Amino acid sequence: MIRNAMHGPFMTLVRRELWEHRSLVWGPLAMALAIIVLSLLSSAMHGGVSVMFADGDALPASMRDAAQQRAIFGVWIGALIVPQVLVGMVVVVFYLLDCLFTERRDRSILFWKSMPVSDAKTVLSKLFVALVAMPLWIWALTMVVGIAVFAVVAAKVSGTPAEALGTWHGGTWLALQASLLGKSLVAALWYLPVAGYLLVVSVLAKRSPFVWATLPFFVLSIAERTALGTSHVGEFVGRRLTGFFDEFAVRAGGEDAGRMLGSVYAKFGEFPLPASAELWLGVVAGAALVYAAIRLRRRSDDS
Amino acid sequence: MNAEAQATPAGDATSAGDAIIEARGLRKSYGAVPALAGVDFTVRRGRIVGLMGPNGAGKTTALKAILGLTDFDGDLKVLGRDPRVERDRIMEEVCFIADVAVLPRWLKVRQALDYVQGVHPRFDRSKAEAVLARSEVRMAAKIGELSKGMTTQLHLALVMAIDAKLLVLDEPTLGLDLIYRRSFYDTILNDYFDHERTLLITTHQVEEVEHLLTDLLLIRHGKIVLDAAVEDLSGRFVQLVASRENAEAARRLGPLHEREVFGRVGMVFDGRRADELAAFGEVRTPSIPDLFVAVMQDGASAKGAAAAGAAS
Repeated sequence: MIRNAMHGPFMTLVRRELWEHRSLVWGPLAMALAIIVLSLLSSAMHGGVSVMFADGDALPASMRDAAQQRAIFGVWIGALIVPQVLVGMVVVVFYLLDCLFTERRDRSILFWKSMPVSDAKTVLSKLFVALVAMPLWIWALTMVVGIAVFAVVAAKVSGTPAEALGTWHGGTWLALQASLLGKSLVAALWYLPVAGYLLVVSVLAKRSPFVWATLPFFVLSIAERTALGTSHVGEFVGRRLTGFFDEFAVRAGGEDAGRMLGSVYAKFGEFPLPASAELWLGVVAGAALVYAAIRLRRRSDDS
Repeated sequence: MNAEAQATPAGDATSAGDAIIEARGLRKSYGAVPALAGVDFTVRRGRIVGLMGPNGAGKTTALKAILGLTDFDGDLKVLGRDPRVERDRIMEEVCFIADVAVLPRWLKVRQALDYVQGVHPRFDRSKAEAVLARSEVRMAAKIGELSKGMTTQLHLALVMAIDAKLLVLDEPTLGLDLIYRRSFYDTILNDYFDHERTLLITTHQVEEVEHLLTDLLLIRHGKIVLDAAVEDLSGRFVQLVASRENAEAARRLGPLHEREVFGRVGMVFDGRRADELAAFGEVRTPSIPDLFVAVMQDGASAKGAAAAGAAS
């Protein structure tokens, strides 16, 4: 049954995306391997992450209770996740800009369109890769990296005063990973308008889709600042790009390090965005943009 | 085309169900330039139709309209469906091979088979594999590594494994060497075409397909200037080769086109009987390339002459 599903029309379209865009697979995988290799190296050289744990006395007193240890563990795992998520996002942005552009440039669109595949299915398969398949792939890699790096560190601190601190917080880790999976779903909704916009640029651009995607906002933003002295355009774009991270970022002003870590950890369990109109307005705009991309792809050929 | 319509009024009615493509008042402009200026034609099942014309005549636009690749005005049905909104349904039963290889260079041969198998309900993988086994195309190769001829073989293998009703070929042999060109059409005729299937071919290499075609659709400046079955050409067109002395008299019968060859004058007539002309010199049925040249070079008068021929 799973085999049939994997070879059904929609999954065939998804696999076709991965055949063409190898960086979707290799980009995040390379980042994951790099983190594991770096943790091995730093462990071997008495440096890096493990030092913090190996030298238990260096920890402030406030970090020695169980809750704080759990928080440190959580933040530490989180720190492994962030670079993986960032690499994934960069890869996905370039994928979306490329996916409806290259097929016109290399004229392969004439082949794809000779197949009984609707433009809606084509565009949705690309959206699915960007907002569902890739987050799942990156999430799976964060699981592997978490376990691997923890094993490296645990081996390093075993028998030292930091052993207790380095103890595997299995429950914390699973809670974090579950939270990350949930947040990936929220992120897919939050970034839907961005993905829709990139698809529209990809289907329209005659050349350099990246320039076409970014230039209008630079120009608008500069024009706004020159003419009105305000920066609403920049704020709007910035909010849409980083807003998702803002939701669980550190609000650090005046807090001591321990409380700061605690508040970061606490954010992992929170999902404030789904309750916000901002998210759902974005979803509506995103759906409209995706629909536009489908309509535009219907009229696009190799010219 | 008027002559066609008048010659077979009953045929039109009885074979309406056989229409694979039906265009009525098909129009398309790029800016102010009309690419198709109101085109009517019907492609029937089991025919091999050559849609031919010089570059820029509108044949690519017509094909793109048929394949759902472009917007248009007017009425066009392919297998009874509107290509503007039902391209995906139409392509279940229509195959298309475009001029130079449009298969993506990054795709591996095996992946190409996997893909078509995954998305196409009428694809028979074992047929494609059998065709490929007879070629030099290796399953593990990337399409980018194949020669143009091999890429075309691959595309042909994919298409031949699809149980389609209509195959559209757009300059399919452009850039291929002679051996591949020959074998391309041989394969299509011998291993693919049966009288249930329909072929629509555009090319400006008229000589290459003249012996295949059952129907001609000649297009010029966005208009159909000739729509005729090849079997009807001999009853309608006459080519006369006359001496210069006789040419003046023959010219009064209104040739479509004339040209001088080795001191003699070759003329193509539309709607004149061979016995009317035999007195002036040698008469025969013009070849398709001759007809093509005659219609294309005197397009404006050909329209008039065709209408006059139909009326007479």
